[in-house]
Amino acid sequence: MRKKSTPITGRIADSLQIPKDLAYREAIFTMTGSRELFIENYKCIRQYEDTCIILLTKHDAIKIEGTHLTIDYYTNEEMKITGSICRVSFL
Amino acid sequence: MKAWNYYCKGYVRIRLQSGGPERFLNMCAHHNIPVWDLQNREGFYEMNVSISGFYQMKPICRKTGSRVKIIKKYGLPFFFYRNKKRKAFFIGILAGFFLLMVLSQHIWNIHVEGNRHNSTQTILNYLDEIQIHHGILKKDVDCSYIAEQMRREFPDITWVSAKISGTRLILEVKENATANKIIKQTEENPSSIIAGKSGTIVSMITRKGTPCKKVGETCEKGETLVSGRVDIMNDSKEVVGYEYTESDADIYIQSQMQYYHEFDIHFQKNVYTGEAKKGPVLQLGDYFINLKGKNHFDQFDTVTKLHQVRLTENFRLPIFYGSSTDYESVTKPFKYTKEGAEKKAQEQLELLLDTLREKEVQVKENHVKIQVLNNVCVAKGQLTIIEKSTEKQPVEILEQPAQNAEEAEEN
Repeated sequence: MRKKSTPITGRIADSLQIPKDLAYREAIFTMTGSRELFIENYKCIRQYEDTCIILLTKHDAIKIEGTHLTIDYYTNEEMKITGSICRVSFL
Repeated sequence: MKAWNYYCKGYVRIRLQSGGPERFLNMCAHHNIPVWDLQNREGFYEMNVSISGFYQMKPICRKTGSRVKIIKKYGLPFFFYRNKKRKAFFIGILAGFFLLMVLSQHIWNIHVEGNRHNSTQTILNYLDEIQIHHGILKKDVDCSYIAEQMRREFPDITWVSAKISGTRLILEVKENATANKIIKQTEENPSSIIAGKSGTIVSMITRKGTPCKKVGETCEKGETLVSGRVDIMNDSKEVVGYEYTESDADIYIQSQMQYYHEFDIHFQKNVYTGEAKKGPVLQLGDYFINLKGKNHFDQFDTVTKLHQVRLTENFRLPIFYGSSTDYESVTKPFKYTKEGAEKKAQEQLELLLDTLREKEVQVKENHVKIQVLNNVCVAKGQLTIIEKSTEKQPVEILEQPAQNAEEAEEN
């Protein structure tokens, strides 16, 4: 994995105890078992197939693998994926 | 809620064919076009998009070289468009709403809770008297007036809360079981206690009044046992005045009770043959509709079970439905055996003794003999009973003694 350097704004945010997703613009993943995945702070869809979805965030690319993957809804900032999710990996 | 909003505004399910579908999807997100239920079919994508979003997609399609095809249309705008010729249908919907609006202005359920001594039906009957009934307009219902009237009518109800909830009138009451007794006690009338029957006094506890008899003495029916007049005496034991009170005492009188019961050991009894005819019945007000038809029985008993139709908990309509069954019976002669007849006579006697015990009558001696003679079973004898057999009688108000009257004049 690529080594992340902590920017000055991040260090200031850390000292002010601001949440990481706001400080570093990191993505937030909320999973309900292997049926649902809720993603916030993503940038765009890189690839969408029935068995694989690749999303880009500010720092990483995230690969979601599974079967019958459906995007329940998505907006500019958040997305809900349902189906049978078997792997989430950072590229 | 969101789904309902989309349904109200209308949405379409589209099929997307594109060389770069991801670019198309990202551009949709960038232009804030709501897209949901996105599925990847082989070679193309299907998704739901709002009507306004669909129109916004045109330039995106052009830029990405995508082709979009509407598969199905959902929502109220499409529904109304499809059914624009069905005027009666929409009139029906409007009429339904209108009816709902009109009916919601009335009270359709009167719910009473917290009542134990006063039955719900008693309270409903009283409400009916003050023109509060099912179907009344909500604006005509004054909750504080109802609460006030109920407290006045039912003295044992100490607290009433009346409120309207939707089309329900909810009455919450709290009763005080001792209220009646207190009221009765305050209405005191001077009275004496007299014997309800002749006999011997076996126990006497006087709380108020002047005892006229002692334990062990005999009394006749109507004889005064405790007088409601209390004589006021001076130091010389002369009566100087009278005071009157409602006499109160527990007096138990022992008396004799004659018992005689006879019956023939030959008797006739109806026996069911097992044949029955059942059918539905309907009662509309005073009209009774029997759908059972006629039976061929010479002798039968009919059992009818009816249920009343009600719209709400206490809103009952004068419509009853249920079933009616005719059971065929024949009359057959029977004869008791000696033991059977004695047993039946004993049972009759026990029934009487149980009734006496329920009335708090103590049976001290039982001299009843049962005999079967000439096909007749006779149970006769004497019961010695002890009971609280007293009655109240108003006291005769006498003139105050002359000496007392003189003192009053001097003052």
